[in-house]
Parts: sequence; structure tokens; C-alpha cells
Amino acid sequence: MYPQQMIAGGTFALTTALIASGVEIELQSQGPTPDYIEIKSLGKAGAFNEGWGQSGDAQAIEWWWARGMPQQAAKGILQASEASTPQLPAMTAYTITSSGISCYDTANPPTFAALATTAITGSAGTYVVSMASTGSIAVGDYVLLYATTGELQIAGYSFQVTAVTANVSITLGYMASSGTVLAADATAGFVKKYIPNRYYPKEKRIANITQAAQAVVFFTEKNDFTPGEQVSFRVPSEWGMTELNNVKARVLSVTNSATVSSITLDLDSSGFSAFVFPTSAVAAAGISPAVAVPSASMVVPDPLNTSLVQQPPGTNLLDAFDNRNVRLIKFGPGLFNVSAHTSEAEDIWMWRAFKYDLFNNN
Amino acid sequence: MTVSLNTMPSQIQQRYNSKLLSTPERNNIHNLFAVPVELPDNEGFIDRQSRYDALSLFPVPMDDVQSNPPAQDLHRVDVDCRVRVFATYIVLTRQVTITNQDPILNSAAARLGQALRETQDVLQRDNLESTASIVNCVGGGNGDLPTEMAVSDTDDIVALLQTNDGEYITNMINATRNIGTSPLGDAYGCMLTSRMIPVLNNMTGFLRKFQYGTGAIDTLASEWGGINNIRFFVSSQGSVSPNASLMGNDVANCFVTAKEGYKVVWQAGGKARFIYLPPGYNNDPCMLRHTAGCSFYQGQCITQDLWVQNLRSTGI
Repeated sequence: MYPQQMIAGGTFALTTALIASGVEIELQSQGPTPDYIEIKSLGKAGAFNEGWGQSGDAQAIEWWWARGMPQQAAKGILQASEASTPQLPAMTAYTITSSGISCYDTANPPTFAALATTAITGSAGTYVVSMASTGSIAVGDYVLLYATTGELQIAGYSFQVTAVTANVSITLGYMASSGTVLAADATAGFVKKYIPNRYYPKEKRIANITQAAQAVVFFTEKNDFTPGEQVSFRVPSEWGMTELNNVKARVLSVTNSATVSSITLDLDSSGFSAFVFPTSAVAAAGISPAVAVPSASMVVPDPLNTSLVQQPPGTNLLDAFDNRNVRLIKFGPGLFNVSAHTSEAEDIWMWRAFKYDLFNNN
Repeated sequence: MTVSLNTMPSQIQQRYNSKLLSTPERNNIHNLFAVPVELPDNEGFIDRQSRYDALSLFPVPMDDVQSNPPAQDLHRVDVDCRVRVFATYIVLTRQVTITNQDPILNSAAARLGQALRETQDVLQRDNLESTASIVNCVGGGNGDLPTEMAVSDTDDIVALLQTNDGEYITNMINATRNIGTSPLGDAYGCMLTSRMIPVLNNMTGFLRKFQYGTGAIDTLASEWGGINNIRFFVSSQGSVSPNASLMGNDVANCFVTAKEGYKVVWQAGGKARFIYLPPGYNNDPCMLRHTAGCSFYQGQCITQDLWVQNLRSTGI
């Protein structure tokens, strides 16, 4: 069999996080794109009567995408809630045009249209971005802010989304958890979703830095750094803590939770000047961002006491520079929560991808 | 019946010209200044190189009782780079190779070679884009952030690299008596998109390479020119971040590097390879298909983060 005939398949289990963000399946050797992809709900593990044919639970039960359809589109079947005996739930044919099924490689990802925002709540420190249309933006997505009216200091910045209220707002939770508060809100601007390439570890923009015996550095999106890694800092004078400029420090611990992205350093910043996010006016006059860049490997700290070295001493291989790009099938969050038909955590979906040996397009 | 052009059969109207047309090939610039490193076979897939940090200076003299001074710690850090495998191939039916009027397998080999080299270049470009330090151009006047590149921005980058003790890559080009030429200082290398050419040409004091004291001798086709202590190398596949400026304009990522700032790692047994399989391989019992492929192993990384700067510019 030739690779272009390959058929791949499998199952995945949903979690609450995956229902919000969608599911990515790596599928390396399927050529540029499969010709046909389908997924079917099997229900929960060990509960054969759930999912397809389940009683009294409105949910999507099947989706498919075929060559020639737009990326992110999908056609499928919604199963109505129905609990009588015999059970005869209504099936509705359904089409979605965004947040559906797409396939791409992360080195050449699809692009997305910019969406308008009417407010960004930087002055409250919550970074809720009001949007009449949130498009296909889902939790975990990366967005670029630009052409803002006000809040110029975050225009051109990249953020990761931590919450979405469809067609109302998105939340930039990593920025919010950094503790940085801006003087005034933005009153307009644009938000553009993008898919970053997967070179590792990546340079990250700094949202805040604490003054502490072990400095904590916060980022605007999840970070790639690992304990034992040496990180190097660029902090131009407009950002206050210039003592850290061009300084390298070892990472003691890393946080990458649903709303917090930070690293704790083997560096005493308690005597440093305070880190200050520049004002909008300072940004308008021209500044360079404060960033942390990966630098090198050092010895790994003991996970139970980061002041000590791991015993036996370990060196870090997790921070090796690497190209982690992949070919993906993305099952978007629109498949699992559509028109009041919602999937549940632990639901298992079966997926299959086909590449035809001969595609007859008569 | 009159014989005219209108009655000529199509086969007679046409002649197949065996001289093939040129295929656009991009300038490969991003590995120009990379230190090449070979990873021997059977020794893993992560190349580790180490650096010993400089010791502190010791300007305090010994006292009169000649007590020993405090010892210093010698610090070492490691830079790890993972090597990955890249491969692609095409399938040609034997029917094509024996009926096509030009030697199609030759063209396949040429195009595979081009794709391979351009892929190697793009891998390094994306590595630099992902890990290099960021400096915004602020000396231009277009009101965006970053602005378009100006002389003050290039001077700032040179000052930064000099302050970081980065060594120049090329030597000074002396002045000559030729009309319209000028000297150029010791230089760092800058790799950038060809969309930046108008911005470069618009910088006061920018020298096109034909204005070098040596003319275009010892330059590459990809070199566009230089200013003060930077020489610029352009490619259509230079790095651009879409909509990444304050105003939402595209941003050119112009990588300025000092000597030994970054590297490319190749596996000893996995260098660029062309692989041809005649009909009969890969479950092809009727011998209907050829395959032509290529593969290479490569890793890339910045080895000294202070010596590679991403000078971001708009105006493209």
C-alpha cells in the first residue's frame, strides 16, 4: 500500500477543557490533507447506551468533512433529547462553517480574519476583550491585538485566550493573572487569531516581574521553559527593572495553569527597580518589548526543594532547541457544543481519516 | 480545398521545445552565518555544546601578608539542539516517464534538490524567528511601532552587539579610487525579506553592493548592500510576521547576527540525500511507479542569545 492510501483512525475522550478548546490529533503521513474525515460519538466508556442513541440528552453524534469543503466547516447530525420508549430521537442534519474540522501543518497554518473589539478592560486588570463576533476563537487560541484606540502598550502583542463568551467577549487571563493594570481601557481595535509555529522553546513577552528573593516572571501566554533551563532577559529602560536587562538566570519552577503562565527564577530581584508596564503614550513614542528568551541548560533543581540541586545531579534535556511542528487534524469546539447540543466530559469519539487512492471528481 | 492555418491539425501547429523554462528559486540566506556542526552517528539525536562563563575581574591587590584571595566558581552552561529528520517524495508512473517528451526524472531531481535546500533555509529562519531577542525599530517616521528601519536603528543594533561583545563576521572593505564607491566597516550579517529593499534603499548612507570599494567582488547574489557595520542579505522567503505591528501592518523580522551566534547541526549519516526507486518497489508488483525522494537530518539553534537580534521593521 502506498502512503497516499493510508487510512488512520482512533478514539479520543473529551474533557471539559477539550470541549472548550477542541481536540488536536497528530497525523503526520497523510499527505497535505485527507480526503475524508469523520467522527462519531460512542458515549462514555463502558456505557454503550450513551452517545449515539442515548436517551434524553441532546447532543451532536456525528460530523464529517470531505475534500472540497472549506477548512473549519463540518456537516453532521444532531440528536434531539427524547426519552420515551421505544426511544425515537429526532435527527437533524446540520452544517457549521467555523470551529469544525480542519487539517493543516503548524509550519504553514491557516490564517484567520481580524475581528473588531470595542473595549479591552486593562484598567481593571481583567483584560476582557469585548467583541460582537468572536468568530472561531476558542480557549487556548493565540490572538494578536492591534490598531487599538488607547492601550497602545499592548497593541502588536500576542496573548492566549483563557475564556470565551461567544459573540460577547474573550478573556486574556494570562495577562490578567500577571497583576499588571493599565491606566485606561482601549475603546476599539482588532483581534486576530493565529496559529504559531512550534519551534521550542520560544521567546516570550513579559507581562510582569515581581521583586522577590526568587523573582517570578509572568507571561502573556503559556511558556515553554523548564526547571533547570537558563533564560535570558531583555528589559529596555521604559520597563523599569533594567537591572534584569541582558541578565541570565536559572529557572527553578514553572507554572502553566489554565490562567497563569510564569517561571520562578534563581535570582533575587528584591533590590531591583519595580517592573512597570509602559504607558500608552510611552509606547506610542516607540519602545521595544520586554522579553525572555531561551538561553541554555543548567543543573535541574530538586522538585521538592528548588534551593537544592536534584540528587543525583541532573541536567536538563527538556530544553533542547527543537522543531516540534506537526501535521494535525483539528476537531474544533463547535463540534461539541452547537445549538444547545452539548457533549460531556468523558464522552468518547471515534475518528477516521481517509486518503483515496483515486479521487474521482466527475 | 484551400490549405490554410485553419486546417492545420493541432499536432502540426505545435512544437514541443525541450528547453525548459526557469523555475523560481529563492535565495537561501538564513544558514549563511550559522556555525555548521556535525553530529556523529550512533551518539544520540541531541547535540550538546557547552560554554564556560567568563570569570570576574580581580582588581583588588593582595594584602601585605599575602593572604590568598577568594576562589572563583567556574560556571558552565550547555546548549542542546535536537536533530530531526525531514523527507519528501514524488511518485511518477512509468507510463509518464516513457511517454513524456522531456526527461522528467531529471526535473524531479532538480526540484527535489531545490525544495530540500529551501526547506533547510526555512527551518533556520523559523528558529531565528522563534528564539531571537526582539528590538523594535523606532528611528523611522511612519508612526507605527516598530517604525520603518532607519540608520539610527542599525547603529543601535551595532552598539548593542558590540556591548554584548559580539564579533564581526566580515572584515572592513577598503575604499578605492573607483567613482561612486565607498568603504564599509567590519560588519555583522543581517538576513531579511526582499520586501525590505525599498526601506534599505531609502536609508541615508546605505551602500548598494556595487558601491563597495571592491565592487561586487566577494559578495553573494543575495547581498543587497550595507550601512556602517551591517551587511544585508535578502530573500523572498525572509521572515515576516503578518499584522504584528501596533497599527496591524506586517513586520519584517531582520535577523542581525554576530559571529558564532547560532548554528546548524547535521547528522553525519543523514546529510542531504536523493533517493530513487525504480518501478517494482513498495508493493508495486506490476512495476508501474517510480519514486524519487530526498531526505536530510537537521537541527538548528541560537548558541549565544546575546549575539542574535531580531530587528523588527515595518514599511514593507
